[in-house]
Amino acid sequence: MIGSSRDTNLATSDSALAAFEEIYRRNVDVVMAYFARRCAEPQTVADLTSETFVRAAGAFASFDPGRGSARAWLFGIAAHVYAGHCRQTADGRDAAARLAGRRALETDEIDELAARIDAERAGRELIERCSQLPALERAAVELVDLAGLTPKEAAAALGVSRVVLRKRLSRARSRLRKEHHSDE
Amino acid sequence: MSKFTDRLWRELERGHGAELEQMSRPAPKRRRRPQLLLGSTVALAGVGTTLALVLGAASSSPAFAVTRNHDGTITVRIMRTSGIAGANARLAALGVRARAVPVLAGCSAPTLTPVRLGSLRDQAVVARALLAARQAARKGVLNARIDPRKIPAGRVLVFEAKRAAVMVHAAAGQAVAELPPACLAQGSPPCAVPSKVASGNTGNSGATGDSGATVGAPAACKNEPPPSSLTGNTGNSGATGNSG
Repeated sequence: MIGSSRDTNLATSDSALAAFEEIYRRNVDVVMAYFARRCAEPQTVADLTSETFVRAAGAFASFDPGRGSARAWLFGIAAHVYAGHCRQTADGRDAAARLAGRRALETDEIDELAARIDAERAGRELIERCSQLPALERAAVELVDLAGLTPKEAAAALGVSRVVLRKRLSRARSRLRKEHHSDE
Repeated sequence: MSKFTDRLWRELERGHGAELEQMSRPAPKRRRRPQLLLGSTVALAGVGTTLALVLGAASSSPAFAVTRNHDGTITVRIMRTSGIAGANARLAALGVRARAVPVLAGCSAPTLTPVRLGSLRDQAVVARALLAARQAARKGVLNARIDPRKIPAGRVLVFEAKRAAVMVHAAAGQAVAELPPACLAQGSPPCAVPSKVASGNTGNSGATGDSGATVGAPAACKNEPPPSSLTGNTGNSGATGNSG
């Protein structure tokens, strides 16, 4: 974990490696949770989390902190990774591709990830409830209400303006509230 | 950190550590709000205009700024003559076929090939460009907004940049068809009879045109090569933006 002394060291370092490590340690849990809300298999969650950070490391030179937070940037990558995973699954290429490149998890890692997937059950249920919403509204609810991004960060991750994000978020919440009341 | 995340970090460090060590820590890239130029985008290249703009006195501000705008246009601001080379290098790096060329008293290079403005629309574009340039010149900077997509294939847009008193001078020049010279002579007449450029002169990738190596070369008095000769240098890829 990042302690205060470590933070100081990282903050003063010019190394991109140190900066990337800081970003990794601050965000790996939320990125993993993002996939744990979507996938029930520990191995899939591990693969998608790994792929997100591998892509992020490769693209770190293009990351511009002036355009949005690192978390928003990572969620943008994670969304692409997940979309690719869904396409592969739909094409039936997923199993072979993952078996070819996957890193085998140890038992305690599987336990950790299974616990994480379990902890995200409520989030997964909310996402399922959001399934009738338009994609942008669903994504807005997840990034802001589940992943804890600020509306500004979520807007950056989704590539929309803050005004649009706020409108979609408000509309989605309103629909969910109505749905909830009608269920009762 | 869990065992999984620790292990993942070690793998990332092993796979990308060396690459990341070579980079410098990302910092917010300087972003200027592009100034609204009078009229609209200065589509100089479409009509081939040369502008001589007034450069202001030295100050502590950056010498130049080249900004890619959301609509694909490029804003070039040169605050001091020392910023010309940097601005040209940046334009080259962005793959934009436009260069600022300083106007110097002792320069032996000829002026650019003149061009007749064809349509009323072209003339209107030039008028807008000049108006915008005048406005910028009052502030002591060269300020132009370029749409790289409108620079004709095989042409290089040239800005004459000179330090003068007040006036913005517009020469009826043309976006040149070859490497721009490193400097332009002050007040020299345009070439009378354009001639053909050697077909091998296809480069506008930045280094030569910006370095000053072509001082005095009679490049600007030659005719244009086939339009295809520079078409490989039209990309504006990869300048900004976060992927993902």
